[in-house]
Amino acid sequence: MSNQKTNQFHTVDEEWLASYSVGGLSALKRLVISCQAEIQPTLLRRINQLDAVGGAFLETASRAALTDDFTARLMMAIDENARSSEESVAIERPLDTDDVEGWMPSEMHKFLERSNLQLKWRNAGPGVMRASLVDDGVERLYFLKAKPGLTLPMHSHHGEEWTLILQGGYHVGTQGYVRGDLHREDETCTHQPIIDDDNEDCISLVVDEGRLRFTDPIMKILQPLLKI
Amino acid sequence: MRALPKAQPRSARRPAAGNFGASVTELPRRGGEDAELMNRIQATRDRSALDKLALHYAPRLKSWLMVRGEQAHTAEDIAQDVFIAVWTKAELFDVSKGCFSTWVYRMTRNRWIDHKRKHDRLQPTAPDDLSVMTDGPVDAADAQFERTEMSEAVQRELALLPTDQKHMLHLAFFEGLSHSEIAERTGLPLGTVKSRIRAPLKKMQAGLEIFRGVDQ
Repeated sequence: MSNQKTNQFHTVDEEWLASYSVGGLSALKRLVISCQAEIQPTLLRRINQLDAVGGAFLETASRAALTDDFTARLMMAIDENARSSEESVAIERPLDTDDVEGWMPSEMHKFLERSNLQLKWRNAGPGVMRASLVDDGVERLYFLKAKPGLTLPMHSHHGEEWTLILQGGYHVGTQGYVRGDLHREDETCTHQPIIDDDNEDCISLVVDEGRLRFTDPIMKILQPLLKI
Repeated sequence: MRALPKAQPRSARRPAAGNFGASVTELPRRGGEDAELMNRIQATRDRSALDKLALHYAPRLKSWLMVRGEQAHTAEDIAQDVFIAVWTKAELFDVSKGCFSTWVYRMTRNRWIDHKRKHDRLQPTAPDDLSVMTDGPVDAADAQFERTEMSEAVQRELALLPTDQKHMLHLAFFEGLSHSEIAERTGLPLGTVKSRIRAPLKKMQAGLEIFRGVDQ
């Protein structure tokens, strides 16, 4: 059970965090970890600690020879950078914030702005809305919003699924997940989340590696229509 | 859909063969000197201070990037980009709240990720900007943390580690190998690798908040 008062929360195994620190995670999983680190200061601190380990090794790393003109090129680049900074004018399209509430981490908000992405919620089944954001051919990133008290269909996954809860919560068996928890599942797990019945929608940021695998034959039929 | 190993991260790229790496016997102790150099950049835009930082770190950044599989010229280009950022974002570095080496490590990693994204043909529909963890030390929320103490705890623990255990951390944090890859490289059982990496990290956490890092 997540308990933010004691700084305990669900996240991924430490090896995943190390992979984050050394740049080994996919871009979308990095984004999810960054959002969780914003919500969970303890996680941010933990990542900083792992970065400090990397930095310490960097201090004593062996040297790869630089080309002779490295410093000269660096100084020229600084001069050039200063000139181009003065000339550049940022063009940004502001995000339509009508549907953006306090549940969205600022890292996610910035990402949507930089990527010129707008939230477009669509029906993904009874009581469930989905806003697709990225499909890079390997992973998919999307928001999922489910009504309180809803029992989601029993399902499994193709590959990994990381779910960061941003509002509300849900239970899987006796295990509870609330805002700031990161719930990781893979193809070895079959589960049936039950949204907490606390009068607010459960909103999650999800990155997965493939479509859901339903056990219910009706859901299998509906899946292509719902695009889930 | 690609086949994935279960419940285990993958290293982004196999390290290149070569003699690059970090010393596992030498102690990192540049904190004071680096802080003084950054002070000079922040206060007077002193280019000679930047030059000195680049003289020490740029060959090491290049080494790190080549270990991660980049060609020499690409590694040098990224190292140069990092030092341009050290100059242009110098005001973001808080000398009192952390090591320069951590900051420059983070910037190097982020720029390397950007480089991979721009050159990764496997992500044709990915948005243009997925670099999310900022270069500043790290976020506003981070300001409340005693990162100097953290850096000291990390360096103190590294100094106390037996060489073989430090070597494990080096493989994980410098070469970016997964635990399975380290087990393969060293011939040690996976469980031994995990325990040798986790034990010192746990010690570094001493004094920090309770942290449950396993969602199982």
